[in-house]
Amino acid sequence: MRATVWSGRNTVQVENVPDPQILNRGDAIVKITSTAICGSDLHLYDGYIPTMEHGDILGHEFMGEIVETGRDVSKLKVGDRVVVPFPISCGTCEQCLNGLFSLCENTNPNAGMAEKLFGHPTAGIFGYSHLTGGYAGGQAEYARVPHADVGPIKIEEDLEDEQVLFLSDIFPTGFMGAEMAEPSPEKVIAVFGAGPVGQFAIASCRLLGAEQVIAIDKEPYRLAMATNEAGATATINFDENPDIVEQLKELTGGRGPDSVIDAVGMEATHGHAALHAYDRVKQAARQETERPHALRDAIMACRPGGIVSVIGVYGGMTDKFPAGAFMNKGLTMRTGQCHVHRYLEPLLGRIVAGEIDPSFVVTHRLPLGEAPNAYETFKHKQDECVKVVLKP
Amino acid sequence: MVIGTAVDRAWRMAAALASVVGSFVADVSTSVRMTVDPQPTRKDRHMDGNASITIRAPQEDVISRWRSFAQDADGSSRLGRIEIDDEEPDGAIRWHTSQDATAQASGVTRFVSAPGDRGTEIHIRIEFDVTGGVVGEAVKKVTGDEPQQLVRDDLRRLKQLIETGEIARSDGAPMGHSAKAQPEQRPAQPLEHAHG
Repeated sequence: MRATVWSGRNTVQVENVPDPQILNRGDAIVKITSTAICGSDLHLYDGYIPTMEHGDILGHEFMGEIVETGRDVSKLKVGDRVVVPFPISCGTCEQCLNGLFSLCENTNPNAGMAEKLFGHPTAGIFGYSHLTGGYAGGQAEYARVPHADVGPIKIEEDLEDEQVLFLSDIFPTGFMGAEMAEPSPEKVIAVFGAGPVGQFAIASCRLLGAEQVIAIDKEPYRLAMATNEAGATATINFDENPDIVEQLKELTGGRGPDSVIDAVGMEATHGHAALHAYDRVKQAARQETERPHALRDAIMACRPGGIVSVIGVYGGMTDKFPAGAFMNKGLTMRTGQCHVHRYLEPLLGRIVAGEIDPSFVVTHRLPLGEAPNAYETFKHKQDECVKVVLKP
Repeated sequence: MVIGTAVDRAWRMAAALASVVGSFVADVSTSVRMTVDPQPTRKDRHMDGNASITIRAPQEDVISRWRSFAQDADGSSRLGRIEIDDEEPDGAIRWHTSQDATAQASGVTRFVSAPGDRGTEIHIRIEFDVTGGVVGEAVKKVTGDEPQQLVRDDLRRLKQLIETGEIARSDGAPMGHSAKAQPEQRPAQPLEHAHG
């Protein structure tokens, strides 16, 4: 089959590789009909996530048709149309039983590696380095899906791929970020980053009852999408004015947003050249893995007693974490890779009910063979790129 | 802000670089300290270490599954077959590895109910002789053949077997959890031939 493989920093290629096979009795093989490039794939592309190997197949947002099942698979059969959640979860460990699917204790065959970096291992993830298990990803013609009875959701409704594909990651991720921020009509919520996850965080805050949501980004076209499609009620372009904290105060009568959502993660840009240079140089020299501008500003901006909800991806160590502001302002931080499984049914329900059409983020539709160009376009935000869908 | 921006930027960049270099040593030592494994303690030519895990199953089940796994009934153990020496009144099991095991060690395994009906904790204390000296032991640690790592591999594999029925395999680690395989992973793409 053809698949998008990582072959070093800033290099992906579409190559011929062996077809996937059943390795565990609970596996299924999916013939992929649509797959997407995630902002977090850019962390791999840019070489900031350790433990990548040349030849790793990328991609953790995909859907398709079941073409083979292992002998323990009972809920799915050949021909079923499914969307696959990006974390791989066993469904039987204590974390899974508590609904914390991205913290599954049994699906990372490289648990020892993750334990060294994070103290404890977390769930396996498709196409996301060997730290999260070394599972081949879904930017390919086929993918092996372990624990097929636990993860994939069957799509029986008459919906386009693009309307349900993002159930695999970014819609639930944005939704969880919103949920952790505890939206309500009287609260003002600020969302750092108007990329695809930020768009869904904004839209989800609105779905969950927030009446005021502020979008923060430096790309006018992304801020326009946040306003026109996702429902942001105000925007801050930090390319025009880098003092995000001051502007957020101005927009909230001096209080600061009641909750802030970091939908940016480890490769933030910043309007302040000196701060950006400090982290950029340290990150390039691999002395810190993160450029955490969004997280720092989120903590500084958040109203005392408020909530900092972190759904942007971080990978290792950060410098200059504003611990004083965090502690003295009595903030609560909530974080995590999304527990996608628990959101699949309710969010599909919202799509079917017409409350949201997630396809609004799609700006580029390309054949799988165009993946190398698509990564470049997405990384450099060329051609007003927000979200790329690849068709195998 | 406009006048002298380029000079300003260059100066700031230099300042940033200087402070980065200055904090290098402290950063590296901190991150190293925060990411290394707990080391087994060393007494003379003897090493000892611990491994533990919590498995969501009743104590009797975990004990019988551990016994059959540790005697390598189905070939899943990384440490290899053990022989049981005796059982203490509190349920602890003393054992030593058989001659054909991957590494030579002896140990004591204890089973404790986890708080709040959350399953069973397995605690293993192992002892082994340092063969090949400290250097040899360091090499084994890197290659994943050190007994403590083998025991930790085995506990993860046993947890997977009991809780999910199978050992989790990926394209990068088709043999399942193994410290030995972690430094040299195959690419995360499908194998050419079916794996057993």
